[in-house]
Amino acid sequence: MLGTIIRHEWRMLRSDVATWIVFGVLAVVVGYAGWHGRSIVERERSAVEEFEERQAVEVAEARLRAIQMKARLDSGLDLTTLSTQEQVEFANGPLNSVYASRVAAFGIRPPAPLEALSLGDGIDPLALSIGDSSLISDTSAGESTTNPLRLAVGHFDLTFVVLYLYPLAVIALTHNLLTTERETGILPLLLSQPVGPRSFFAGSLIVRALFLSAAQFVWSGLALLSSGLDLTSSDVRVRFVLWFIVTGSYVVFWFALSALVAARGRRAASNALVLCTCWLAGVVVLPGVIQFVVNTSHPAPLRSEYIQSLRSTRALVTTGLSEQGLIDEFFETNPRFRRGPEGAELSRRYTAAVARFDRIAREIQPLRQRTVVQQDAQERLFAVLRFTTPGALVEHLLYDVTGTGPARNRRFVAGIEDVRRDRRTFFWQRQIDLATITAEDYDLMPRYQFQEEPISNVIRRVFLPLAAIAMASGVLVLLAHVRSVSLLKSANASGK
Amino acid sequence: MIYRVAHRELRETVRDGRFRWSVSIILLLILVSFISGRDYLRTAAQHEAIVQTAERERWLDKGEMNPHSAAHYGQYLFKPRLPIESVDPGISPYSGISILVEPHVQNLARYKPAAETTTGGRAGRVTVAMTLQLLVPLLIVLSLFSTFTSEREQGTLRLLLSLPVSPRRLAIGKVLGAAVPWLLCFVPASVLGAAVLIRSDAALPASDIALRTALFATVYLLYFLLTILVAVTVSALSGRSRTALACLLAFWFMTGILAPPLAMDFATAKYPVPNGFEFQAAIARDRAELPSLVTRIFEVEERMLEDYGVSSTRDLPLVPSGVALMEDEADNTRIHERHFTRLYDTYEDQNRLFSLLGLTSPLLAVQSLSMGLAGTDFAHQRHFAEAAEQYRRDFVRVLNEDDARNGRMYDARQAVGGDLYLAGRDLWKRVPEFTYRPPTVGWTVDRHRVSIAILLSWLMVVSGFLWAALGRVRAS
Repeated sequence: MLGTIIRHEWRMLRSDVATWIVFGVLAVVVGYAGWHGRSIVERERSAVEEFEERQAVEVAEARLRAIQMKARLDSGLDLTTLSTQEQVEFANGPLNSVYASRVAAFGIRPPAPLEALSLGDGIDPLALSIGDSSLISDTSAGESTTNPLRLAVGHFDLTFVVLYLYPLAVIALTHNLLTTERETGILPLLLSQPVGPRSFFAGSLIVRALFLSAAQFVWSGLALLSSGLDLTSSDVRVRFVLWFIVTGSYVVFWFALSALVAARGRRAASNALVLCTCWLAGVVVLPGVIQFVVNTSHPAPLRSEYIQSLRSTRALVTTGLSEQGLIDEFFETNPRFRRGPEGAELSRRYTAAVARFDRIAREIQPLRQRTVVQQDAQERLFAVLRFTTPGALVEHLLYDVTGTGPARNRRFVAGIEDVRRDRRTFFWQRQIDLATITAEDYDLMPRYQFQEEPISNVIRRVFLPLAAIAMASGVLVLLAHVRSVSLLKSANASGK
Repeated sequence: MIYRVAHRELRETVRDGRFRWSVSIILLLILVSFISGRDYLRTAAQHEAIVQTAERERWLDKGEMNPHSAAHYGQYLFKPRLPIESVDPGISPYSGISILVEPHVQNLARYKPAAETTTGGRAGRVTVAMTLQLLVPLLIVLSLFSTFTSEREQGTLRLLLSLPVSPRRLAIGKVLGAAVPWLLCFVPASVLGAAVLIRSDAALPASDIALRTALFATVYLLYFLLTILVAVTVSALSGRSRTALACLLAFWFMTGILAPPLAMDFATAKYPVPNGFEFQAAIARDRAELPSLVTRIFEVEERMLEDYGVSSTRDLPLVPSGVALMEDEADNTRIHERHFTRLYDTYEDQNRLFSLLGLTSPLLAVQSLSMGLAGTDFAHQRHFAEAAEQYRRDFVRVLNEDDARNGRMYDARQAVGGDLYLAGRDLWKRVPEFTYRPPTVGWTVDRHRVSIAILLSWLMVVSGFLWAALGRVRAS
């Protein structure tokens, strides 16, 4: 009998024009969003590659010039015979450690593995300085030139589609679950057949679930095709499977909620209204309220505080402290750099410069630390509060699996900070010692290479939220089942 | 009769528990987001003012230094915030709060407040503007979708139409009855909010802030009126409440949720901007064509020795290295100006198209106007950035000129490095303090004429539709 119910439901669903309109419109929208994401990421990727290439050329050129200049010096070149301009080149060019520290001095954050599916907020720069200049003005090469209004409005990407449109599509396809038969008056007729309420409920649900599953496969396939993901990488493959699971779970959640609302036994319009209210609360309002609560509870230091700290320290080391005092303090806090008696005047100047940078780095550290502490606290609170709403939960799951969340940028910034420290050790010693930079130094100097997070970490992180969604969906379906069976029984008894 | 219909509608609306609940929630949301936005704004503005003053003090107290080195020390400039920003932050969280002025380069605004949070999502922070733009229209739709359809479904419309009252007068009564409860809620709230905002410290006179606030409230009231008219029109044209609700929800969703990102996609596709790498690479390419500073110093020195017919740089009235710095600055300024103007013009093109697409969604026009009146749109940002750039040029020019007159940075030909010229507080004081006055409300309104025209057009068109639809109202 279940087969008869399924066939009946399928006929009803198939004959409804709205079903195909919703399916088609979403397919078009998914295709567009994927294409849009792809076009933006391709441009970003080519710009990043071009920049990386430029940095590589810069290093190669400096290295070559260093070799040539060293060869001339080794052949007994008398610098005093050179023109002033050439002397300047020899003194401040590729053999100079300060010059070398400024070559290819940027770390780059490449586009995330599945960025075409989720374009991120675009706020953070794609490249950060790994040199000492970062201590003065936070230079960033790939500073966003995106129109701020674009950033404020957000992208129409697949995350937008999944987050806002998938639930509405599910609502459109399921809000009349169990109600059409009642509203058209054929329910008593159906229930007069040898069919139990459980079978009727299961049949109705199975057809819609199968249809939604098929639709989810088609939409995901379109997303894959239009976004042009490179599935040859196993990392991308696993992430895409995770993306599919997350979007599928989200669809299941809304389907389960629809079933529960339908089981109340109200009219289809009333169901749609209730579901739309749930959508508004769960996807639009509550995530905003959560963010509000998180930001208000653990406010990060203001950007102006950071500027103030940077500038006051700079003023202090530039004019407020004596050069000798700074040098003494530097060697006291960094004894590893001390090498024998103090050298020439030039060495003293370099040491003073290094000591200034060191003092600035130490002075701004507490504020940076406070920012990290507050951001950690924000994340911890958010990690709890997100379970109160499917919108926030799924949105951050999507960021996690696509690799476009704020966490990736924080890892980037932390990695840059590590390389900055390594480079200070590498270059500061050479600056203090007035060492001539060699070709080998150009090969050995610390550089930043972005490492994607191991996929196992992502899997571990998404497990709990996914389990929560699955559990919530299970509970909703169970409740829907209980309510609908009792509803159908009472309908059968009353003949309505 | 209009009064009676309006009175009946008003009574029904006010008695409706859903209306009371939803208005209470909305007013609470507005109150909380207003207080929190105002607190954040006040703290941020106060702190920025302190840093700006400290920057000036640091500038004056930095002791003796070579003028060009002092120029490299630079200054951070902050855009003053208007109190109404607490109601609509607009692009402020996404555009940097400060611009660093220094020689050789023009900088983009840095330090975006949105980067302070690690949990940013699409929904964004709940603000008064977001509540007014999305939630209030939705509640209007939900409370008015059945204005005519319920009368039709209950059979009371036939009764009403049999009375000596035309459908149009009936509709006027219904619109009034529907609008008055909303006005009773929002007008006092707006007046109260305006009073608080006017009393806040601002870089503009209180009259300007008052006018901005009044216009801001007017824009939203017109938007609500438009939503009411759309809801009543759809209800008048629909046979069933279900159809009216579906149409109105689709309208709300398309104009409120879908339209902004789609319009921005369209605008950015039509007027693409270079990304950060491309932008800086283009500037670097142009700058690479300039002679290096060392080469330029040699060239200037050669030229000046020849022009003045002397053999030593000591006999020149100006120091070649200083002149070279000034020429280098002028060339760099020209390059940056070209690229920044192109970038900002493209933003303006995108934003203009975004506003123009308000023809498809009134919310786009409302958003543009709202941000403009709050002083948080790109036009205001650009106004500030251009003032900062003008200040940068003057700032660097004063210092380079002094260096050219008095300095002896480098005597290229004779390879004699004279003692580095050091200047002091007297010179630092000659660099004027940065003072910035945001544009007036008249300037703002002038830049948003298109959005105003679009919003009014929507009102006229929808009123026309409603008028026509009412002529076709039937009892069944």
